[in-house]
Amino acid sequence: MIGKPGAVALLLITAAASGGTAHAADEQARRIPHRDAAPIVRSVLERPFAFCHDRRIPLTEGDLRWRDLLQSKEAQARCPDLLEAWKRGATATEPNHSGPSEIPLPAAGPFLQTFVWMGLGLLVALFLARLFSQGVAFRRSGSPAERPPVPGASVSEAAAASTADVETDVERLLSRARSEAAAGQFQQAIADAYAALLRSLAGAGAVQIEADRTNGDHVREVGRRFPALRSPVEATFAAVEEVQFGGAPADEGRFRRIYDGVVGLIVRRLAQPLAILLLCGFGSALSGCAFQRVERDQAPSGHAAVLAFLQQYGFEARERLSALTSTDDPTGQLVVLPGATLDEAGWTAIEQWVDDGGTLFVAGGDRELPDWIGVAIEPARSSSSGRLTAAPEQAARFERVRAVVPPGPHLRPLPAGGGSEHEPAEPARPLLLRAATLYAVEQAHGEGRVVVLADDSLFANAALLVEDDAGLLADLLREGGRTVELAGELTGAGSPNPLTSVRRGRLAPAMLQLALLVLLFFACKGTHFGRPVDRIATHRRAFSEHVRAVGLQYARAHASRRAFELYGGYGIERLRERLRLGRGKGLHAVAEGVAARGGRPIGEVMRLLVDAHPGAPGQTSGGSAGEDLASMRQIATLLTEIGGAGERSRARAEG
Amino acid sequence: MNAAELGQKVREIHAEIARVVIGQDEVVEHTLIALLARGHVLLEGAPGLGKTLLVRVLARVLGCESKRIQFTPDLMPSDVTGGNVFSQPRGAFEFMAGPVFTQLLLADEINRAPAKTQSALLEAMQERSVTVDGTTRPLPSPFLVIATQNPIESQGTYPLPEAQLDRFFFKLDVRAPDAAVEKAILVSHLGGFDATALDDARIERRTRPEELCAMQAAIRQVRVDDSLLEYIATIVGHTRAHRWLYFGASPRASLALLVGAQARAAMFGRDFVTPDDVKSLARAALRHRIGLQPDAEIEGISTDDCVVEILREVRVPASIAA
Repeated sequence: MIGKPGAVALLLITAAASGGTAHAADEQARRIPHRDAAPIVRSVLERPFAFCHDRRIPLTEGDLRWRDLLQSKEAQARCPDLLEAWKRGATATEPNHSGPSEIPLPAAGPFLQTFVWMGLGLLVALFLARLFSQGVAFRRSGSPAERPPVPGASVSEAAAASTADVETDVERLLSRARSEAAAGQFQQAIADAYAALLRSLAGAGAVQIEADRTNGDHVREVGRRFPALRSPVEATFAAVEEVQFGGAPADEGRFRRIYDGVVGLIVRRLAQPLAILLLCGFGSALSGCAFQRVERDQAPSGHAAVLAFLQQYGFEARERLSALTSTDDPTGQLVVLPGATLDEAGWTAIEQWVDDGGTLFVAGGDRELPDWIGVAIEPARSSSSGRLTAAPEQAARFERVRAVVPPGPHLRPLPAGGGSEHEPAEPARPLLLRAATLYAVEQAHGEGRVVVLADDSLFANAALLVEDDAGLLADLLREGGRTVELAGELTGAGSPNPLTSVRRGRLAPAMLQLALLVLLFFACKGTHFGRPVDRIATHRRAFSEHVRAVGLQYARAHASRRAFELYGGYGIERLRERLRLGRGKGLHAVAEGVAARGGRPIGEVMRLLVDAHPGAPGQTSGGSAGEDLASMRQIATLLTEIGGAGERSRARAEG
Repeated sequence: MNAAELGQKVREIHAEIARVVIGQDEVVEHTLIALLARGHVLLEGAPGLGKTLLVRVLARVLGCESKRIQFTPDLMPSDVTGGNVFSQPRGAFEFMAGPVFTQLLLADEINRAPAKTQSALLEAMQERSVTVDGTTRPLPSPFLVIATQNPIESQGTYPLPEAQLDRFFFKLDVRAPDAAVEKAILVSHLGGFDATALDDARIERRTRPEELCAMQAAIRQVRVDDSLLEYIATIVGHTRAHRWLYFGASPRASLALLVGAQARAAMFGRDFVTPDDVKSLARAALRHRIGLQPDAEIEGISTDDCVVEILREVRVPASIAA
């Protein structure tokens, strides 16, 4: 029998044992199973990575370090374009990792700049034109007392029309509709919602608001200019007409349906251009930002292909963008690449995270490591490439290592056990050697561990082409769990809040201008500059319209004879000109010439010319307006038959 | 029959006609409106534009009996209405019904016959009955006359007087097709369509005469708002005081606009009339009922121009324009 204290002790032991078993099981679950890296690499390199498939990719001196290692037939077969790129030598500069990275923003070319300035100029001109037309309209419309009565309207209607203020602002009409609906006046609310829709469509140039236009006219007009809007506009108008002419009761449900339709249409009208504008803006900005990064990321020293390899291997590999001060997943792995910027606060946060169980990889870099990492990175000592071998005590763990990396720095272990709070409790264990120098070490720290590599060669795209570097990388990472985050130059580049973002982007002046524009827009649309009046539809009259107007004046004054005199004189002069007759020749010569050319009887032509001749005896006592018009048409026919510049140009225009 | 059912039925009829009569949608639509409103139609257009084809197809789709009279200068009234003929075996006069005793009558080139013969037909159109030798005989129902005239040849014609033109519910201009429609007509011909052999065109009957009469009765139930009555009255009133017009439209024109608008509303499945119904029918209902001043005629202004001008001057009910 076991007594009570014994039972408690047994329970504690059992719990401890089961806890230990669970921890081991967790470790086992976190560990990624071993896979053959070669087929995965082959699959990854089939994708169009620039270092492999673009012979024009700009290379840096760092990229050229791999040249000696990639002379194998296997590497050349995998990436035929890379050898071509080598031949061009280093054409790009090495990225600067000494300070905070800067993302180059897209620089607008001269064409885009001209376009933007033209757009701004056009906006200002439109704004001024709108102001001017409002001013003109205000002056033309005059005071209500000066307005002419509406033709055909009764006295009361005319009085009402002259005194009523017509609201043309869409927002205010909608607001008024809502207020009226809230007050239970649904008839007026529907009328205002309908007016808001029409005003909105008129503002977009889809319809013209005139007293003689029906909803059917509006629908047809919308259908011609915006076919997609025709159906919803027609449905909304139909609902309004049911109330206006169909005797349907104006109730809340009907108002809600009409109002929703109206608002939907107004928003839809605005949404399309706004969406296009935003897409264009964001698209151009993003494409401009990403361009240089993509190049560097896909260079032989970049990491894009490695990320793809790790993802296919089974890791949840990604690039870390958030700051390193906010690491919070103790089961993940963090790889600090040379481009990552780390300050004291960052190292402190990372130490805490490793203490809690995280796995840190420091992949080289020109940086001084904190004291709690018991190793220092020393500059390169030899210029020859080196095969990586397992350290003697790690022979069993890395028995199948078959990896080569370019020449580079090496590691120097620091003495441990100094008693300081920040110094390592135990020395770093060597993992890998490059030639005779230390390449990788491992060190336990709290619940987690730290692995320091002398450089980031194993994380470079080019490493996928060299022997089994990829397999070694996977073996190093397999023990740390599934999540792998690569911290590079973009890590921490994001802003913690919008204000910082504006400050970093030096956007304050632009934001202020935008605010000013919004204020101006509100001033323009929100409050009228003058009394609201309809836009004046103006168009340039054609010459024929002027002629027709003058002709009508003659007709109304019963002065067709005068018009005939004028036109007759003009016609005889043109005929004289075209027949090349001098001033001395009389009407008979003109009649002879016209008859000869046109094949008409000379008597008929002569009679017409005499009649048309200004000041001819008996002319003023001529016939009716109809006869005068017929005579003018005959003269016009003669002119056409004889020909001349006017007829030639007319024929060209008709042709 | 409610407005929605009526609208659906008319759409079916329209679609069946449009399958054969290509590119004359407005003429077909207005003809159907006149049919529903129990009115008669005067078609004006050059030869070969499908006027006769329209009537023949219409008769087949409506399931109505149809006849055709080719008007000529020597056509007599009895050739239209029929007359009493002495029957030798029976020894008595028997009435021989003329071609007017039908449901759908095509009066081709109506202006070729003298006024006396025209009057005989127009009286039948108005009264829907024929009186011969003191005996009045009703015409079948429905009864629709579609008369045609050619605007180009004016020699040897007897233009219809204004009082007789007024009897026509609509005057429709049949215009020449544009290039696309012309091509569609050619394609249809290549596809085997022959206007002289309509039996091969497999035209389906979409209604019966009784159903048509029910549809004619149903459009009277379509609601007309008071503001629209004012709108119609103002339009017609303007024709009587317009500067270009010698004489304006009669109250019969107002009635035609009103009933036509009701028919159009029902055609579109509505049980109420809108201003668009009135406005869209104004030209067809008014163009033959107004006369131009001589100076307007000299200026080349047409009655259609006048109607458009008047419509521009009249404010549409419920318009929001200032």
